Amino acid sequence: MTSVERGDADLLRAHADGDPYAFETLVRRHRERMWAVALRTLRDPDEAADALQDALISAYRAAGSFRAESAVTTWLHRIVVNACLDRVRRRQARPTVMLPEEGRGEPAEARDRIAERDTAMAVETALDMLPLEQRTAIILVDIEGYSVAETSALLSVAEGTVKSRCARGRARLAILLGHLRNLDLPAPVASSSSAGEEV
Amino acid sequence: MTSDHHPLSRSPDDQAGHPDLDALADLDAGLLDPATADGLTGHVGECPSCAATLRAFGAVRADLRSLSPPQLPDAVAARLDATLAELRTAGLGQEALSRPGAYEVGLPTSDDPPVQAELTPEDADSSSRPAVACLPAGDSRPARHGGEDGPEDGRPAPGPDDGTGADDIAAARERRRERSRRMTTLAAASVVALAAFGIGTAVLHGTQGGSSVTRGAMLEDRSGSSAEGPRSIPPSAPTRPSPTEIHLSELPAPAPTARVSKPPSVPHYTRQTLAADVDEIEQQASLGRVSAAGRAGPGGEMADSSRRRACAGSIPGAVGTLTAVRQVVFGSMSTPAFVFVYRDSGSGRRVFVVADDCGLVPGSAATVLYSLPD
Repeated sequence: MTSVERGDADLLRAHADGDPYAFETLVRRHRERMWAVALRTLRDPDEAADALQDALISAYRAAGSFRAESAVTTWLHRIVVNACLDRVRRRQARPTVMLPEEGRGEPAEARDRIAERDTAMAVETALDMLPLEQRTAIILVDIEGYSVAETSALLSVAEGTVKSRCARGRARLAILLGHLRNLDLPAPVASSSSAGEEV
Repeated sequence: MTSDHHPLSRSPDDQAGHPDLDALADLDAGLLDPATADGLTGHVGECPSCAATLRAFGAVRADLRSLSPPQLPDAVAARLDATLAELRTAGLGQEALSRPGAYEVGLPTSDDPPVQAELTPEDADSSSRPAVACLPAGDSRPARHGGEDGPEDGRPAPGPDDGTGADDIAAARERRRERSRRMTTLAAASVVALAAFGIGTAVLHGTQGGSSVTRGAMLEDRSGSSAEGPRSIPPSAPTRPSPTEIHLSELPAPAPTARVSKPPSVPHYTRQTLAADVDEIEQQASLGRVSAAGRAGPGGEMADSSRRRACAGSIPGAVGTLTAVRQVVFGSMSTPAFVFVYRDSGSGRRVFVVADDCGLVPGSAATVLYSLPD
């Protein structure tokens, strides 16, 4: 059996047992998705690349104690997410993008500008405007397709917290993406949290 | 808040009975208790405005699902490949990896502590330090495992407590070679020289191991915080330094040392001193600097721009902005080489050494990280 045919858990076990190429095979299999998570979480390609490198080194070192209580992909993504969150923590002084709160309701200019863009670009832009903890939950649940329970384990937070973060984030996205634009929007719904404050 | 009939304008206890946006979002996310959910569901069934809001959440999910994954840039892929190759060639002994409990790291279990936002004392402390770690970058060494980077002479692989990472081993080997060369040039009798070499090697081993434990412990804390969230490592738990991380504050004085025959003005570096002295290299050989001595011009110390570009293009994993090029003697090389310094993000610099023919010198590449000030 070649390494390509082996499952993720087998590759990780082979790496721990001394196969020098198993870890590379495993990473190459999943690095595109890991990159997507890192980039969407950090929003900066350079930061995402650094975080992904950190994560690979950590995963390489931690492989021996992987207990197979979750999927390898979940384990890898947890390491990637935590590497990203850690980078955010270490640059907390850096200015973060906040949901505009001045005026009443979402600024029409922002909504119109976003609505004019390509849908995907608009969604990515709107995602960028979410607080980090909401964005991370939505990335994992609504984009990557993890269940609430998996995301809860992945982020080490309660399932209710995951649901709450997703709910708050979707509410913001609904406004930012213009899905509520035909309705009267007299008041903002943004919470007081800002990107990077809460994890 | 206004008193019209849109959920965004009302509080949950709005007298008209309309839920606010957050309540509807909670309903959509399945966050509400059954009784509350039933009440809101009943209202939504009779309220077109609230029903439209609920549909908007579905549209948001559809938008999110429609996103295509961003493509991994070639430069990032190359960098990851270089990191993986470095881990494979200079990485840990596999017996350490397979040893249960070799690393007490956070794994995806339900009893792990929640991720915290607060900086650890180590993080806070490190923020005041200019540089904290040196990680491997691109490496053109052929793929192998457990080769010459491992312990020599059949000695057992470094255990988790000895803190002898691969870099340390390589550094020790490098120093042993240099020490040996210096010894052979002495006029002392061969017996005396051999005796001195033996003593020196023993002292070197002891010194190296002791300092590495400190380096490793500090980095283990940082790395753990970085990748798996905060957790406690029992005092008795074995800690292993990353084979590829060097705590710069623990390194010897970064001043280049003249150890091998070389032109008098060309500094000598090992991987350790190279990482520790990256600030000096950038300062002395900036691409935009013209030194008083006239040696460092607009192209650093490789003034030929076409050659500089050719060398830069030949470095695997080199991304970002080239900031400095300095001529050096590296390790045990007998001919001068060139250090290329890149800034690839706000959090680190990448350092590569290329030979005169622009080939990357094996074992020279490193990423020098430093904490941003809070």
